[in-house]
Amino acid sequence: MTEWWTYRPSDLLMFSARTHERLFESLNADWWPLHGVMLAAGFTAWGLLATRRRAASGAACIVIGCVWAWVGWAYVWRELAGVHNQGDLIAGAFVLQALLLVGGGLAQALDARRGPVASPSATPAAPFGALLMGWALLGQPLFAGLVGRPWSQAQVFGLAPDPTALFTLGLLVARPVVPRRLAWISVLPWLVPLGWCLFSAMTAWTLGAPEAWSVAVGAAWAVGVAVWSRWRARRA
Amino acid sequence: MIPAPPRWRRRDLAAHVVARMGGALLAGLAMHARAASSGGSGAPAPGPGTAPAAPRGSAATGGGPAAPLPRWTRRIPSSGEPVPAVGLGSWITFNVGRDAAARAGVAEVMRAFFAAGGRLIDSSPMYGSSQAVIGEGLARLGAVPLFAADKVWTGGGSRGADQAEASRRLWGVARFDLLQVHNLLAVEQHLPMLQQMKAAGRVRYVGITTSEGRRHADVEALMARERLDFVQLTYNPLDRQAEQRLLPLARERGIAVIANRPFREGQLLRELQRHPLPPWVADAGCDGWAQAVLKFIVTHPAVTCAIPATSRVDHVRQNLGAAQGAEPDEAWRRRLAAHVAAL
Repeated sequence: MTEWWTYRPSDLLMFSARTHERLFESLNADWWPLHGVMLAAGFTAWGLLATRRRAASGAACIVIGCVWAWVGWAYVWRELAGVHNQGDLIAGAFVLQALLLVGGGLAQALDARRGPVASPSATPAAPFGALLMGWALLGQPLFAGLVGRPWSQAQVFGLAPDPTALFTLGLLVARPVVPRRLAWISVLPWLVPLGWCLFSAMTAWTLGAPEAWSVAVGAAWAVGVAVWSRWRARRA
Repeated sequence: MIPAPPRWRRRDLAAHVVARMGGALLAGLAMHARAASSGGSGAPAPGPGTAPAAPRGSAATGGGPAAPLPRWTRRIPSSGEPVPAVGLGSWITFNVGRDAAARAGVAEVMRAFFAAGGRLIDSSPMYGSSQAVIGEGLARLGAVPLFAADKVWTGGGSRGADQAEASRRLWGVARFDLLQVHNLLAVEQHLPMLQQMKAAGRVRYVGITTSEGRRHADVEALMARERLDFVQLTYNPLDRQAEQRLLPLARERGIAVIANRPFREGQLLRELQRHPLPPWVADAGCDGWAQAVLKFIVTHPAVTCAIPATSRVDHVRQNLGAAQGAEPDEAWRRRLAAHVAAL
C-alpha cells in the first residue's frame, strides 16, 4: 500500500455499521444458548485464579486459551472473515494466542510443586485485573442495552472477541502467564489481545459506535496497571 | 484553492451542446431500432460474452411497467460502445458477508438498477464479499444488460491472472467487460497481463484505478505511455484535482473515465443535505443533492460514467434519475462547484 500515510482509518473500513451489527446478531442467533456455558467458563476461570494454586491458575489459562480458539473460529473465521479481507490473518492470530495461553497454562500446572502463587499483597495489580475480568464478563454484555442497542447485538465473553480480549488482559494483569523473569517472552500473550482491542476500537470509532470507548478504556486500563505494577516492583 | 476549469469559448460551447444533443438523438434512435428488432427491450446490446439483455416490463411481454426513460449514455472512446452515464459501485454497500437477508436486499438493488437502465457494475477483490454477493444477485436476476467491471488487486507475478479468474467465477460471468489494475498495485506486472488477456479475447477493456487524488502523477504517466481503455479516479464537486491534467489527458488520449467516490462514501451528501437545494439546481431537473452531484460529474466532457454505491432501492433509482433530461452546461457546473465549495 503506497502513500500509506494518506490513508485515514475510514479508508480502511470495509463494511457498514449495519453489517457490523449483523455480525453479532448472526453470532448470537447461531450459538444461543451457548452464552451461559461461556459465561460459566469465564467465572470458573476467574474463580480458579483466585485460589492462588498454580495448578488451578494453569487450568484457568488453558480454559481461556480454548476460548480464544473457539472465538477465532466462531466469530473471526465464520463471521468477520466474510466481510474483512484480513479475516484469515486475524483468525490465525487468535489461534496463536490460544496456543500461548494453553502452553503457559500447562507450564504453570506442571510447575505446581513450586507452591502457591504470590499473595495478593505481593501482587497489587491483581484486584485491578479482577476488575477488568469482571467488566468483561458482566459489563460488556450489558453495554449493548446501555447504549440503546438490541440485546441481539450483545457481545458476550467466549463468543465475541472484545470481552474475550478484555478478560484476557485482566488475567494477564492479575496473574502473568509467563513469569516476569522471562521479560520479553512475558510480553507475547499481551500482543494479540492488545492488537485486537486496537483494531476493534478503531473500527467502532470509525463506525461511530460507542463500543470503541469500552474496549479502548479497558485496554488502556490493563496497560496502565501493568506498567504501574512493574514500576512498583522495581522500586521495591 | 481549487483552480477553475478552462473557460469555454462560445463556439466550443455551441459545438459541445450540438454534439451532445446529436449523440443523444443518435443513441435514442439506435435504442428504438434495437427495441424494434429485439422485441422491445430498449436496452443497448451487450458485448459478446456478457449476459444478454432482457429487462423486465418490455413491450414484447405484453404488460408490466413502461420502459424506463432514455438515460444519458456516453461512448467508450476506444470502441464507440455506449454505456449509461451512471453505474453502480459496490465498495462497502455490497460487502454483507453471509447475511442472507442482506444479500437478497442487494439483489433487489441490482434489479432496480437494471430496470432503471443501468449497466455498469464495478467491484474488486478488495471489497470483501462484494463480488460473491454480486454473483448471487446476478444468478437471481437471470439475463440482464450487464457491463461487468472488476479489478486486479494483488502483488505481482502470476497471481493477477489467477485472481481475475477467481473473480470471474464469483461473478458467474463468461468474461469481464473491463478489468482494471486497482490503485496501481503491481501495475508493471498486471497491465501487460491484462493486455494479453484482451488480445486473447478474455476481457474487452483494460484500465487502471486510483482514488482520492493519490498517485495522479503515476496515473498520468501511464495514461500517456500505455494503451488504456479506461481510467478510474475520484471526481466530484469537491475533489476536482483530476480536472487539471488527468481529465484533459483522458480526452486527448481517448480513454474512458469512471468517476469513483462521487459522494465521498456518503459524507458529501450528509453535509450538503444540511443545506436547502438552490432553486437553480432544482430547475436543472435535480430532485435532491445526489442528483445535482451526479449531474455535475457526468456532464464533464471527459467523464464516461460515475459509480455511486448504495444499498437502497430508492437511492439507486434516484441516482439513475440524475442521468436524464437536458444536460446542464459548463456555467451551471461551475456555479454548482462554487456553491458546494462555499457551503
